[in-house]
Amino acid sequence: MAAAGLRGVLWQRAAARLWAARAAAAVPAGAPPGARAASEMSKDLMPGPYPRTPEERAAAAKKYNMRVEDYEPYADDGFGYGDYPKLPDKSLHERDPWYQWDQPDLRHNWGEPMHWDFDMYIRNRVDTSPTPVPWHTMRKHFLVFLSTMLIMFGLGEIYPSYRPVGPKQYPFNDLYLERGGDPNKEPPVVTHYEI
Amino acid sequence: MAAGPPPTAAEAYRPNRYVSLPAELDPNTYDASPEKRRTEAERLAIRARLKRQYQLQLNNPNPPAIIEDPALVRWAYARTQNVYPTFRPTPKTSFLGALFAIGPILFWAAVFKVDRDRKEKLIQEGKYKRPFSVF
Repeated sequence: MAAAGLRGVLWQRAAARLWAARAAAAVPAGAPPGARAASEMSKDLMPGPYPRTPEERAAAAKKYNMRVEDYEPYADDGFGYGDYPKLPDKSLHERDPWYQWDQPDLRHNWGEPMHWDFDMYIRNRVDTSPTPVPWHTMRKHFLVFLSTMLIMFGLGEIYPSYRPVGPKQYPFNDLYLERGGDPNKEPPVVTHYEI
Repeated sequence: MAAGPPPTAAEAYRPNRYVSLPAELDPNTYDASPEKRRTEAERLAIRARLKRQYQLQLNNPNPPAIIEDPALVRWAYARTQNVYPTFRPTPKTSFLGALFAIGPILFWAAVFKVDRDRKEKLIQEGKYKRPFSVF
C-alpha cells in the first residue's frame, strides 16, 4: 500500500516536471501553458478584449495593420468578438482578380486583416458581388412564381377535377367462367348498354 | 402630379445584405476629394509596408520553413480561443443560448410525447392500423 502510494506520488511529480519543461520550452515567458505553442507571436499581437479607451483602440488598429479611422470593432454585446475588426461584408468574389495578391486563390495579402466570416466568403462559397438584376426584383419574381404554383397545386388538391368514369365493364358475361361459374349451366345475360 | 418616367436600371438597383453596390453606381467612388486621396495614400502605405515584409521573407536566400501570416493566426485565435474570455452573459446572449440549446430538446420531447400518446390512444381504442413490414 505504501509502495503504491509512493509510486503514485512519483508519477505525479514526473508529470509536473514534464509540464513545466514543456511550458518553459514552447511558450515565451508570461503566457499560459498550452496556448498556440507553434507560433512565436506574443500575447499583445493576438486578439484581446473589446477596446474601451482611445489608446486601446489605436493599439488594436496598429495590431491589426489598419488605420485608426478604419478600425471599427464589433459591438460589445458579449458575443465573443473581442476587439476583432468589423470589416465590410464583401465576399472574395468582389476582389480584383487581376491584382497580384500574395495568396491568389484567397485574394488575400500577407498581414491584411481577414473578415470574421472569411471562410464563408471564399470563392467556392457565398458570393455578394452585384447582380445584373436587382436582388429585390429577383426575389419578387421568384415569390410570385412560387406562390402561384403552390396556390394552384393547393386548389387542385382541394377541388380535384377528373374526367367522368363509370364502373368497369368485363367481357364474357362479366367473366362468368373465370369467376367460377358452372360451365354446364347457361350464364346470365349481361348487357351494359341501352339503346 | 403624373408619374415620371420609370426608374433606370441604375436607379432601381438597391444593395442589401446579400448583394453589394457596384463601384460604378456608388457616388462615393466618383471625384476623389483630397481627404479621400489622403486616406487612400495611408492605406497604400500600410499595404506597401506589409508587401515589403512579405517579399523580404519570400526572397530570402535562407527562407524560413513557413512564412506564417499573423493575420491568419489572429483570425484563427479570435474565432477559437478568444471567444470564451470575451463572452459575457447578457440578456440577449442568455436568451439566444436558451433558445438554441434548450429549445430544440424541449420541442422534440414535446413532439415525440404527443405523437406517442396519440398512437397509444388509437391502439387502446383498436383503431390503429399496423404498418406493413417486410421483415
